[in-house]
Amino acid sequence: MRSARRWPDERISRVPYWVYTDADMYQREQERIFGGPSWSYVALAAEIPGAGDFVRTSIGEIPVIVTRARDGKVHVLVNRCAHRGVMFCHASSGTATTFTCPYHQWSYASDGRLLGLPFKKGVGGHGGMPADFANGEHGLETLRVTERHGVIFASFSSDTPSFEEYLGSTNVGWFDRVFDGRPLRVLGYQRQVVPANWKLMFENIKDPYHASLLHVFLVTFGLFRADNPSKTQMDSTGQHSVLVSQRSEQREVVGTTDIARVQHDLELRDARLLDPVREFPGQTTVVMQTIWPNLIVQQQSNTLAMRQLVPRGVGEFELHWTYFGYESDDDEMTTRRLRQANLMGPAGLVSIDDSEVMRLAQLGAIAGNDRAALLEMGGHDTVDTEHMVTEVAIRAFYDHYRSVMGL
Amino acid sequence: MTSDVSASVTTRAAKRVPWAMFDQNAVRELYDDYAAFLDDGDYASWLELFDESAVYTVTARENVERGLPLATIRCDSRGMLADRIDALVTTQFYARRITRHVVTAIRPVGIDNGHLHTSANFVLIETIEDESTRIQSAGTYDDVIAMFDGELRFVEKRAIYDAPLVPTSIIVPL
Repeated sequence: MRSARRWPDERISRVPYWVYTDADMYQREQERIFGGPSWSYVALAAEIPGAGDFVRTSIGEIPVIVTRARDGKVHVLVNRCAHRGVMFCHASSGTATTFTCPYHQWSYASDGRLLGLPFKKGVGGHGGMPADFANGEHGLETLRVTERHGVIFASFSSDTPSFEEYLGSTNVGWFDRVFDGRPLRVLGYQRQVVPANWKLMFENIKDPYHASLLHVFLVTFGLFRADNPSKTQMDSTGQHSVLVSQRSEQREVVGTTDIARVQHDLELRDARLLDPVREFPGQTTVVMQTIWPNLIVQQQSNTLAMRQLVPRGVGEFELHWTYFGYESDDDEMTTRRLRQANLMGPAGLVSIDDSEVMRLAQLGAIAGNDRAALLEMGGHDTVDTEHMVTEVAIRAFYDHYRSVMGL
Repeated sequence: MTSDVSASVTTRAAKRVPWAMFDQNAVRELYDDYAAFLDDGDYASWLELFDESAVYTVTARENVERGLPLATIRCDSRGMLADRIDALVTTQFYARRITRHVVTAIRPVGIDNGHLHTSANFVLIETIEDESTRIQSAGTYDDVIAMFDGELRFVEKRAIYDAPLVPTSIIVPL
């Protein structure tokens, strides 16, 4: 399919606003990105520790369930009955050895096999399925599954390379920093729906330039600011990236005069809100990793979370936050993580700013279908940087996006 | 066992107990002030409705039902709650909005050590500038109230919102 849409001549220094508003593009994204050779995050292994445990989620718009079979193996199944397409699993999580569709009670095993269906041989000699109907040919659609250090990903495509090859060695290194093999403990969920195109969320996390300006709370308390040592690193394709930075003290320095809203006199009444302790090697205190096509791994001080993107039409997405720590955390560390979670999520002291700005970005895009966004901070290229005054990771993202989308 | 698609997602309400030494009207007034102060943006007066050591949380019902400790807002003291209000007033960016807190079905569900445990329903109706009015959230309060120098104050306030999905953001506290 050739698109009538034409990317602006300035290439990746411009992003046409129709990528956020065009329903045909959105459909193509579902097929080529979420349905294509990508590894989508679906769950943490800690959410389904026992045989029969399952969670329900989505890859793009496709509803799936992630199950653990009796032999311990993880399966990812499309949540759509092979009979008439009913989304048969409604519980968001639970334990079940079989799944039964409520409509005609076709039942499936944890690995997606069709176990049986009522009236298969008819009733009193009437009806029934044809003699050549084979259960083995009518199981649930299953996906490829991979797991690294307790994080489960799935793919619709047989062409997706191994997860390690897919992520690239630099990004595997950052991934393993948080997921170092220690068993994880799920602390809970926050979910929100944001009236903006899903890509705006990725751009937001790939954009350190905004973080030092929009997020006055972060800057005021030194958690993230333009003059802190930082870097941006991509994989060779540009689809994944990581923003790395380190905390500084609350202080006034060169460059902050550009940040008009910074509050130098703000002091916490209860310092327990922000009492980060070093728990990973090195000076780095913030690592925000974006993994194509639906995951942001958040490590800001001691708050660790998976942010899973679920697109819901061209102008809306859901963000599912799964907060976690380690099984080995003591109560003090767990409490610290739970308190620092105040920074993030739908009521986050910091992330509220992003949800609100993305809503406005979408409104601007709708009103400017023939215009384009400008991405020239830090130049025109897509190479790794050692600072945060750059939009390089967004340029790299769209470089890859264009090749996948044929634009 | 099969997956139960009809499983109830409501938690059972606690049983009513007598008001005992607590005045029902005074409790109702505490909740009315709570709603009015928030909706008027009078956060200083709103904070005064909490004891200094009060715990205030806002949590998705799914976490409560699964026994998971994460809250969406967690303030372990009135000071921490005041820090949040500082951020709301001075550092956070959001569209201007008007809120209406509607609190009903306030029931006494327990008394211990002079503390009254209450449950109530809330609905937060929100009108964002340039948009039509919508329901931001609905849920229950599980609260603990005590008398301090003749005034009732919250010792604990736990707002549990029903829908797992928050429409964009929770700006004004529930």
